[in-house]
Amino acid sequence: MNVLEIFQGLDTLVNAPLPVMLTRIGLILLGCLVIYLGKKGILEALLMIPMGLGMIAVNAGVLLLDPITSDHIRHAGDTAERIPGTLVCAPLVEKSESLMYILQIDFLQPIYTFAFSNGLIACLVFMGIGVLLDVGYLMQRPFQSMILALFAELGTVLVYPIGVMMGITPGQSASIAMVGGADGPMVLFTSLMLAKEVFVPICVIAYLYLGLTYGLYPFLIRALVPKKLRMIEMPKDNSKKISSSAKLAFAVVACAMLSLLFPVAAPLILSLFVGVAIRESKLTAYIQLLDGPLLYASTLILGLVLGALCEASTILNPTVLTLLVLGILSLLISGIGGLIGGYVLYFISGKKYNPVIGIAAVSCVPTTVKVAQKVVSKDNPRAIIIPHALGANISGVITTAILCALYIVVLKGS
Amino acid sequence: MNEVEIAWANAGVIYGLAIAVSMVIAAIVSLLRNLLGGLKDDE
Repeated sequence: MNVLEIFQGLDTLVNAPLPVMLTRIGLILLGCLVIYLGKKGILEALLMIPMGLGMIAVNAGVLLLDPITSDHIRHAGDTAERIPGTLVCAPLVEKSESLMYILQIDFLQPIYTFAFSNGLIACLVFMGIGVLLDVGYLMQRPFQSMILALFAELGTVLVYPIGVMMGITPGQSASIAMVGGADGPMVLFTSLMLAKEVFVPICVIAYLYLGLTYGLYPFLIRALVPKKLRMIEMPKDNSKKISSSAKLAFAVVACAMLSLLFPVAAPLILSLFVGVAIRESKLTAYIQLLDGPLLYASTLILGLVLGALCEASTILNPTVLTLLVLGILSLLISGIGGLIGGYVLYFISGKKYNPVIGIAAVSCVPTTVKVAQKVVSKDNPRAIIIPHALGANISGVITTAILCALYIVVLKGS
Repeated sequence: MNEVEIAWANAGVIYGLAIAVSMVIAAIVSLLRNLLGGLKDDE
């Protein structure tokens, strides 16, 4: 017996075609890098550590599947040929009979089938985010916050036609453009609806790039906003005067209105506002459930499954390179757009508004708020922009949900 | 119109609709704030 036949992961690695072998090794190394960056705090550890381990395991643990499982995965009918695969997850199986079989074989398949491919996991994360949002900051200055959020969606809007120009499909293009909205669950939801064939690379790219906002945006702010403007102090905040009843009423009205306008995004809208409503109703038991076990469990599963879906065959898709370029472009344009919005308010307010606040409208909750405040504090420790930045940030979540819904409505039928 | 032109046109329509819906939400928020004991002074 050949020794390699005992160690099947090695066997399938050395006998794989060269591009597959190199990609598998590359993804194992990328997994290690992601874990390292997560541990260092450069990327989001809660997501990146399970994702990195998932990547490593799924690219190392490839074996030759038995003939029956191979048939179900390839839909090839009754052949005796064994194909390489894993016992983790088979995302491309759709035929009911094959799916029922694979559900009993792959250990993450039940989670993928019942929580991932229908967008449930994105909704669960959104419920957790909803509980964390204090809409009082938005309610205190709704027009300012919404204007900033709309400017900060420039990447989400512009990258869609740019992607089509670069030769990818409108659905793929809109999905990767959503990275500019900087909301992971929304990218997941849009790509599941519009570009299921590439939703894995899109989501992995999205979550990796979202982690980079912490490192990238301070440079962008310093490059585009002179120190004198970064030092501008904002007037004292009055957000405590917004009552819980008003915030709850906002959640109810916004949920009803957005669901009425965009039924296609109703799951996301409901999830977000149920979180907000629970927070404002002070349902302590639910708050503890949503912002503790549910949010953390969802994040863990999200990271693990995304990592486990990063098989070499998925990443070898030729559109991945285009998606990589478009993802960072979208995030960059949205950041610039947010700062342009900040400048618009700076001039409208008679040069009293700190333009850095604009970048917080890129709705990576709450990273961009922290980034904006950190940069401003470095130049002027007395300048507190958090209340304004949080208003813009929360508005960003809402405008991203609106754009997600509009993309799905406009493009799903085309 | 080719696919790229359609995409630019779609992007324009989508952004326009997003602006309209966002402004309606901002107006509703403003109204709620004033009706339900929020801030009385304008931003």
